[in-house]
Amino acid sequence: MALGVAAPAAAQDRFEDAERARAEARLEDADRLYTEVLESGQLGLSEVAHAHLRLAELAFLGEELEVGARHLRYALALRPDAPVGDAPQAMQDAAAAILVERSQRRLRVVLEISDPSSPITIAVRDAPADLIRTVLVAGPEDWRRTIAYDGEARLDVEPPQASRPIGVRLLDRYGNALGFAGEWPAPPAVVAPPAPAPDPAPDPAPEPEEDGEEVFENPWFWVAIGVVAVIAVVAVAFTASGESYSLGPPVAP
Amino acid sequence: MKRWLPITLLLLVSCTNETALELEITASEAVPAEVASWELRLYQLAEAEVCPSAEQAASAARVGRLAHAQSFADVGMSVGEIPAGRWGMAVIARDDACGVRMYGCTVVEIGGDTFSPIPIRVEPATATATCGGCRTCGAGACDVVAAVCD
Repeated sequence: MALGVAAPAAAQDRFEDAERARAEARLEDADRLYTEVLESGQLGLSEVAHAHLRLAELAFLGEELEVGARHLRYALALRPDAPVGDAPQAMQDAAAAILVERSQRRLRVVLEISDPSSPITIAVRDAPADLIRTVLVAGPEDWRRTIAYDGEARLDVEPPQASRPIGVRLLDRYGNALGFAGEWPAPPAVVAPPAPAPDPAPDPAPEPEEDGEEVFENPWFWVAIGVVAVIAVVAVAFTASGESYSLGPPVAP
Repeated sequence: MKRWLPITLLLLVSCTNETALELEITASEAVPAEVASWELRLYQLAEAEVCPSAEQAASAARVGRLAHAQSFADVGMSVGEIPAGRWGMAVIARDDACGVRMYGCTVVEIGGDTFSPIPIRVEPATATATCGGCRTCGAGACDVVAAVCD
């Protein structure tokens, strides 16, 4: 399974353990491991969707239909195209019903800014009940707000001018980030402490002098220089040709 | 030289930077029950050009360069890749007879600083035009949706 880069190594290891347990039909272990992965709070959106999908599948297999439906609802809110073709029939039926109800609507967060000085409305859209627990808001100059999310679709914040633009993150109960909007402020630059003075060491023994001319006489050196130059030219051409921007599907209000 | 190939590919891939942007249609008030479909029209605009009026967008009048158009009921199709620049994003809510019920248009500079999702706010609107002279109305949607009527 290809996991996104958002999951740190430890979470990724546990994810792979969970996948292995599922593949080996150790269903209780798989359920525990997927739950632990979620509880790590270190997952990105696609990993959370995947974990909920797997937990839904395990719950449906264990005939815990209510639990399975909850996980399935979360998974489809994050990823409406989540693959359910190989899932138990009851789960496929539940997925079809959820998609009829929700269509292809994904959980998302929108910043509504009418003018630069007025409050900013944070609109959370199509969030299933109890998935989002916290809304983090941050802006420049260390402006931060942590808002407990109780299902209210619209939240107003009023950052000072110097703390705009703001960024917003939606977190689940474990701290996994499931939605983003705006521009998250860059962390302050860390000034490295001055390096301690090196201990006085005895003078090293003089190294034998290398013959510098040998490197330049090696044809592979010039081949390498040529390859690097070609790559640089192509890279500049690529960059100059412009970034690409991909627009997702429009969603009716 | 085979060893250079993966490095070259890696460098090239790292130079292609795709930014995913989302569109979010927001309504200033409740969407009328008569709304049967939504039409999205994306215009590539020159520096001085502005959004089309509801009348112009609904009748598919030539404004800027129409780069994309689609009709949808609830969730549309992905628009796909667009170049950086100045864009007008117009949304028309139509009733069964393709009459305009709501309209909104946002001009956005697509570039490194573009926020996502891009909100397009629609408000109650009326227009005498329905689909324009070169399109026909069927089940609340104009066909051919991406046409431009001169």
